[in-house]
Amino acid sequence: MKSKFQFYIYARDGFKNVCNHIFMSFSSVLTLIITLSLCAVVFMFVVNTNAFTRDIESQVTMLAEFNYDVTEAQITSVMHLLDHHELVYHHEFIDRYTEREEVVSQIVGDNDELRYLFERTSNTLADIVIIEAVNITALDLLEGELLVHPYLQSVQHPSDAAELISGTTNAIRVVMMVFAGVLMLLAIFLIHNTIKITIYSRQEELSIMRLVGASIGHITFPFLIEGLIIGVIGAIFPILFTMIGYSLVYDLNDGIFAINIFQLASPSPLVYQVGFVMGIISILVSLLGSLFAVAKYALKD
Amino acid sequence: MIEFTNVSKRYPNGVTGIHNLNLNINKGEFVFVIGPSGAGKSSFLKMISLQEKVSTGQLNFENENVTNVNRFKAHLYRRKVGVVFQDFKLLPKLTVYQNVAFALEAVGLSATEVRKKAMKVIYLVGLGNKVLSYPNQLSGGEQQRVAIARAIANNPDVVIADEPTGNLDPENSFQILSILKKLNEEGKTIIMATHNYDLIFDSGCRVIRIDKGTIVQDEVMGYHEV
Ligand SMILES: Nc1ncnc2c1ncn2[C@@H]1O[C@H](COP(=O)(O)OP(=O)(O)OP(=O)(O)O)[C@@H](O)[C@H]1O
Ligand SMILES: [Mg+2]
Repeated sequence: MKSKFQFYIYARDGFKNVCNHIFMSFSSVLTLIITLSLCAVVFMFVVNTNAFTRDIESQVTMLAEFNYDVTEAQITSVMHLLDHHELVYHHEFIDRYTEREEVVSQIVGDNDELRYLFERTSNTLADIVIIEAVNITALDLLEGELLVHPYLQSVQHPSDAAELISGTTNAIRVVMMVFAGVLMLLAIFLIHNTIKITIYSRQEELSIMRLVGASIGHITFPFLIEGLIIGVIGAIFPILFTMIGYSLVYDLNDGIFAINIFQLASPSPLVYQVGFVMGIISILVSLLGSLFAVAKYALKD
Repeated sequence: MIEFTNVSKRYPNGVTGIHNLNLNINKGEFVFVIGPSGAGKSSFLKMISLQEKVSTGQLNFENENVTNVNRFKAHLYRRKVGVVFQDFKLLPKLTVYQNVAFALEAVGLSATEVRKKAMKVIYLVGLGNKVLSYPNQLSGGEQQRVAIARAIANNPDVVIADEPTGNLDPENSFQILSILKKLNEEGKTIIMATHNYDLIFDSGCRVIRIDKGTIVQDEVMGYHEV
């Protein structure tokens, strides 16, 4: 029973401290709210663009054309190279006749007269191989390697769009994370300052407490609780904001955001995961802030 | 009980408070510490109450080496040493009762124990009728009695008083001294620094005179020259 009572005292003191320095507490809470909201946005962005870039990154195919005068042996040697290449996920050889047949069929359909006309022209197509790389970076490396291959005359891949988009989302991710990190430090600093002010205003009590033999735990606990109260209040709003906001955005657009290749992840487990992470971050940030302050100002003799 | 072995205290600014001190204080002794201002009396007392760290040498308390006591354990020793100051150091916004109870709550006692022990020591120092007064409603002597009550509330083995009568008139000074004497008779070790030589005459106590950080005189019973 004694410990329960003691905990009540700690909590009461912690709460009193929050109220005694309401403006400092408020600014700490506000910073936490902004920080955590930003973290939530970053997190949602990362989760969704991850799925998105995985999607486009799967389109990592390119097309290599053999020289016109390529020999059977040369083709075999290139195929052998690709068979054992670690950057190659999959590849498929198409000879110039099959390719021509495909092209011609596409153009003439089942018009026999047209087909006859086409068959009289010579085949200007080259043998090709379609290569799928293991990922987008491998695609670049592979392209560089095949461009200088003596038996190949050209290498093409569909577009640099995938690269561009994943590069852009990566950059946005980094900027947002750095920003969130800076804000987190600011939150730690502000909470540290709030607790410091409380400690200063109670310096007399604290020195007497130390003198009469209060344990370190007894001295520090109310301040940690003060930090925790700030952390909890600072976390409630952004968590609610994330849960409600994300579900709203999702429902409004049937899960499609901005452009229709951008499919949002379903809110159900995601918002809870994000809420959980935000809670953890908030508790860590507020405990860190108060611990620094307590270690620096409340325990020195 | 308290053993100093080659103890020196140097402050960060280079000033030496105590120089190479060797001294034993036994359980149940009443010790006066005298000497000119700046001699090192407070430095000496603060090492015993662990308010200041020993710079070199060794300090034993009840046969345990407390020279470099871990900060997570220091409170266990501090509970065995009650401290009284010249300027009382009461919390002005708390009543007499709350000031004493504060010390008991600080060591984590339950509400019932706090109430019982606080009332006991407040009556012991003769302030049973001032329980709900605030420090600014009390005389200096009464405030110092509250401070003594707070110092002994946790039932320490040693009471350290650094010029406890420095701000008091002769009558109140003798009253404070008689309370400390009473505590001594109950078995507590008392170490008191003072400039008030009237209290020492015919006291029959051990008197340690410190000057420039070293002991220049250590005699039981009486006091010869100033
Ligand atoms: N915290 C401190 N930092 C630096 N020097 C200090 C500190 N406390 C005391 N001193 C110095 O140590 C020496 C001894 O001081 P101390 O307070 O122990 O003397 P004292 O005998 O208690 O004097 P008084 O009778 O005036 O109280 C003095 O020279 C003082 O200036
Ligand atoms: Mg002094």
